[in-house]
Amino acid sequence: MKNISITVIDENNALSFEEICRAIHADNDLIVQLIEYHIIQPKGSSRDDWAFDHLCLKRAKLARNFYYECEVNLAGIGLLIDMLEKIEALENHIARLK
Amino acid sequence: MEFQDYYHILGVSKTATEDEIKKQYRRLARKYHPDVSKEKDAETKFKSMKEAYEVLKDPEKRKAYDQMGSHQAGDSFTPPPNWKYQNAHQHKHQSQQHNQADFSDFFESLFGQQARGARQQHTFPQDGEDQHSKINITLEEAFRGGERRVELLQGKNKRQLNIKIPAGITNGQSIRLSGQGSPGLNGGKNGDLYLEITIEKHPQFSIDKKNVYLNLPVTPWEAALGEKIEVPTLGGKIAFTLPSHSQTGQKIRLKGRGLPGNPAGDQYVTLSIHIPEPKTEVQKKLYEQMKNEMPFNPRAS
Repeated sequence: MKNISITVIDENNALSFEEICRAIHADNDLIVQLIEYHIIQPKGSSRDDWAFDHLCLKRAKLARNFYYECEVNLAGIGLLIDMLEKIEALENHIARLK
Repeated sequence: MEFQDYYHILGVSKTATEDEIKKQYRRLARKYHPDVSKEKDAETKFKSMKEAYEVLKDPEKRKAYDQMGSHQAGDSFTPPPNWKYQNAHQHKHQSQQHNQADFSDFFESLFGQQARGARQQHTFPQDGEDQHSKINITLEEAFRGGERRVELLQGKNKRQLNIKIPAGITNGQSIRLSGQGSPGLNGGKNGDLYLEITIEKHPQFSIDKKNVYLNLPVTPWEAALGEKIEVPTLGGKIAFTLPSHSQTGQKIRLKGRGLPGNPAGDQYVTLSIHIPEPKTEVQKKLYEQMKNEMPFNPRAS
């Protein structure tokens, strides 16, 4: 079995606009809307130099699922993802206190 | 191939309106969506709901499905001879809404590409899709890096891949394996595979991004006098001298002892002072002596 070359997606190896659309199987329009609603905040100022790090990827993936699979609107998705992150942070905090 | 009772899966009657079906699906999605659900088997359950909804929400698919007549769920089933499904309003971005690769053979034979006359559609190069999966690694693996054999279920095929876990990877990061997603067709490019990392809970350490946290029990004299003690870190034990007059809850930062990176994370040690139980007369006397010589009220102020 051959070893496979890998890239860690983070601030230094971020995805381009085309790559993130492809990665999460979403319309270009949906990604643009996620940015407009501040659900994801890529670095860069225009489509050509937007850079999406692992947090963008994770949030965009969740947003895509909620949008298509739960039929939640974008305002709702923003709230939902913020809440999920808060819960995750609290759960980690509780784990550290134990 | 087994017959799928889509009405039963969604819990709606055969006469349910489109609106009723939509509402019921949304209710169930809230309960079983794998990104929010804590229910057992949420993922499997949700997958079959998605499939059922894909058919029942679409009047044309639903009509075609209803024409199959009545079957019991799990009945052996073969599509009628010459079955060909061509939806006039086939949604342009259907594959973006639901990844149909996950759907059952039953769905595939009725509404999948085969049923739509796949041969004609696939004479041009088509890039494979990117795919996603999750892997769990131990905190030690995240610290040291290493090789890992992962087993992936892609469509209906099992695949094994050897992948390198880079040292310093953190929870929620993704690694991308180029060309390991769905295969391209007719000379199209293969898709990529994204693996989202989850670091498993560790019995001793907990983490936040690249920082590592540890609760460390110390004796009253170590804390009071500031003695040299050993502390476990992911890279092995290290010795350091406690500041004198340390208290329970006090945090000590060991710089650069967290997960590696640029910059590396730190390890935070939270002290917890444990009091020995006086068992003999002499030991009890020692506490008495402290009481008399060191008047102290931690509840003052």
